[in-house]
Amino acid sequence: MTTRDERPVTGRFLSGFLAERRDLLWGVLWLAGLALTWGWLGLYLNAPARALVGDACINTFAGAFAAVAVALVMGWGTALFLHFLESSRRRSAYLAVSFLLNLLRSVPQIVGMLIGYVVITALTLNEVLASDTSRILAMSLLTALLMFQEVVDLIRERIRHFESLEFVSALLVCGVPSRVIINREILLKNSVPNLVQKSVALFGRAIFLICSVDFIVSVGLSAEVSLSNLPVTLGSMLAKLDSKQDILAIGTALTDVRVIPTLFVEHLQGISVAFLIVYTLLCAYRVANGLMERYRL
Amino acid sequence: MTTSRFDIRIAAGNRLLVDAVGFPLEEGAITFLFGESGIGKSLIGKALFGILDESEFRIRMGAAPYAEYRDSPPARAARNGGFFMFQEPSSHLNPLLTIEQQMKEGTLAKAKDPLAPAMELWRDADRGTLPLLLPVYPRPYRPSGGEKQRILAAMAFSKMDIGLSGGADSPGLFVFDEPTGSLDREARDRLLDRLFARFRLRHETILLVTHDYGMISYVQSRHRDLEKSFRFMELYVSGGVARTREFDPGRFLAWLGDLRKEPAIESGSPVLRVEGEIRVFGRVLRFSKPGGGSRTGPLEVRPGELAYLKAGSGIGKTTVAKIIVGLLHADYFRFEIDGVRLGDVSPRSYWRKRLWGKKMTMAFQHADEALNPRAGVSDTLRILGKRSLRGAADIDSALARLFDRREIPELRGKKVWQLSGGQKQRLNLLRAFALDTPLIILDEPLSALDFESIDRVLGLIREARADGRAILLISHNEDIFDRIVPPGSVHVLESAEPS
Repeated sequence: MTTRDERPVTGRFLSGFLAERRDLLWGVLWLAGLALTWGWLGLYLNAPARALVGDACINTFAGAFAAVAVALVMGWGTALFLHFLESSRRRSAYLAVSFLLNLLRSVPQIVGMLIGYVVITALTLNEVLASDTSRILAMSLLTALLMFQEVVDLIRERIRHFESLEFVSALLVCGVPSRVIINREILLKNSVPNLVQKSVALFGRAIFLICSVDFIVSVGLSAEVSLSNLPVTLGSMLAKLDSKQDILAIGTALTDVRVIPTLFVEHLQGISVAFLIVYTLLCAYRVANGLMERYRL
Repeated sequence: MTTSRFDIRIAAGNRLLVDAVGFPLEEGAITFLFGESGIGKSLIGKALFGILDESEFRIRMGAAPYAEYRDSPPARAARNGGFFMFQEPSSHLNPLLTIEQQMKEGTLAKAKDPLAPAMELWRDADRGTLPLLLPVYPRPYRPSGGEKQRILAAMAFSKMDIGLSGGADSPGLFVFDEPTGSLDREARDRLLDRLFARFRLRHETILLVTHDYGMISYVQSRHRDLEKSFRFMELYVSGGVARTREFDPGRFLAWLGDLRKEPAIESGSPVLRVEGEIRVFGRVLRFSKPGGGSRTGPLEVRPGELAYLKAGSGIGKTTVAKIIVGLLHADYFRFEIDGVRLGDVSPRSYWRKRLWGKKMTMAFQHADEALNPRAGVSDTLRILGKRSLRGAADIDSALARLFDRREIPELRGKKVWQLSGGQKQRLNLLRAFALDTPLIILDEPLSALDFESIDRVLGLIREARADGRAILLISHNEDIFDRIVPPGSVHVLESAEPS
């Protein structure tokens, strides 16, 4: 009996790749899209504008990445703390922490971001946040603060699910400490795909939040809140006059097809920024979905 | 009688799982297929019955594609007149229909009295429980595993009764996949008796898939008249592929005959002493000696003793074990473990701080569930935190107690989910024995194991006893343990209504 697939190796690899690893495929497509955009900008966008788009890109992605990392650490720590309070029957403390978490959860993320930006702007004006790096970290911390409850929920759900399984009881009876069982056996050995999938989804969310709020703040909320001193991001780039005109050109192209070719060579700043945001969100969504399918989460 | 020989090859992806060349299935005979769990016995049964999922496996029956065999008139006839009793009764039964509806469903409705075979499988004293089960929608915990198995066997017997009453022209194929895994010996023997009684009246084709080698001694002693109808086959793994060979029952009987009673231990302070009774789930559980009538007493296990706790299916042996190890809370209990007194008011933290891994440990019944499937084989032992299990050489010598040295290098790199059922069970046992606790509780330690592995596990138990460790044993393998455990160490668990 032959157990070999008769199709060519390349075809087999590609079809297997497409069918089973959509997350990787979309991850590669995202990186390829970024590289292609950057190459195109290198050809047709002037150097100062290109540098601005580059800075915005790096600041946004680094900010979102840091936000996810902080959310994971905060979520992990909080989930373990809550689990400890619950299992050691410290009911009052458990209820108090749960209440605080739910209170934070009840704040709409966009509103929370705007309030946080007021604080960041104040700290910037008072020169507490003196460098771009410290401001990006502050923005990441703020974003993480509004997202980490999802990580708490995920980790607690994983712990609850596995605690009902017999292998956890068997390990306990063998004298293995609870913290080792939770961190190593439940979270590291059985929950990494879930955590990666959540991280990718949060990465997309962080980009969306940062870009939305930066855009709103950039077009002007009040005289007190200004982005003049905050690091440039893709969201704030969208609000710049040049970018606005580029995006308006898309509307013109709808009524005058002769404008379409100019979009890709003359209106690159705004269009490439908008493309980077939308494309990144799409890819993050696809990667997260691909992970869910691959690991049947 | 005609014997069909099948070359069964089953592959998943590019991996060949089963290569059973010339597997004999004799029409009108009873073929026993023994072997370790999880290596492919069920796959062979399903392939022969024509129900193996082609979207999951690539299957060949000889030179022909599987669909050709499955749709051939003889295979169809055998299937229509036969029955497949699945290994896992919970997945066989439909949770959306009551037990009674399922016992009368489809062709089973043709039987004169579809419920009658079930009555044969319950003890006279317990028959009152059967009517209570009929209106139940099956759930994971009710009916119990043993009750579900008897219900499924009753369905198979109903199908046989249809054939007996002239409802089927040609013999059907009846596949019983681990039909007695959750039954105590008495229930198992009753099931076999009823099956063979029907077989004597009409010779159906029966494939009995099991790892319970103890069946051999029973059928050889009680059903010797059917000797000519018995065929014994064994599935074993060679080169990572499961293959079949004929099994000589005499080899097992000779081994069984060589088993000797372990010396009785009557001195020393008990490592475990369970006083009086345990009250749990509205029932009272008491311990007595076999044949001791109403005389109840404490359960005591001394250093170096192998205490054997017996009870019928569903009485609560595992429940008692879980209460002792502090995983289940009972309304009332009092016991002492290596000088530590415990009762129903003791907090769970007491077990965690003073007992687990220090004074006691337990090997759980289902290795599949007792091991972390995503953990590596070495990690499963290394996590115990013992200094003697840190290096690769330490792990190798620990594994060598129950595995062949040749298979260890490959085994070490595997995850638990990649192991066969028998390998998981051996790893499960090794983990419990690797700890130096004075008390070990073994819940069905021989389940899922083949004959050679059973022998090694008995050796491991002997070593532990020689080291002065106390062992509390729960097992359905009475054929084996009755020959080893001295009468003074056998305890019977009884269930009673609270007075």
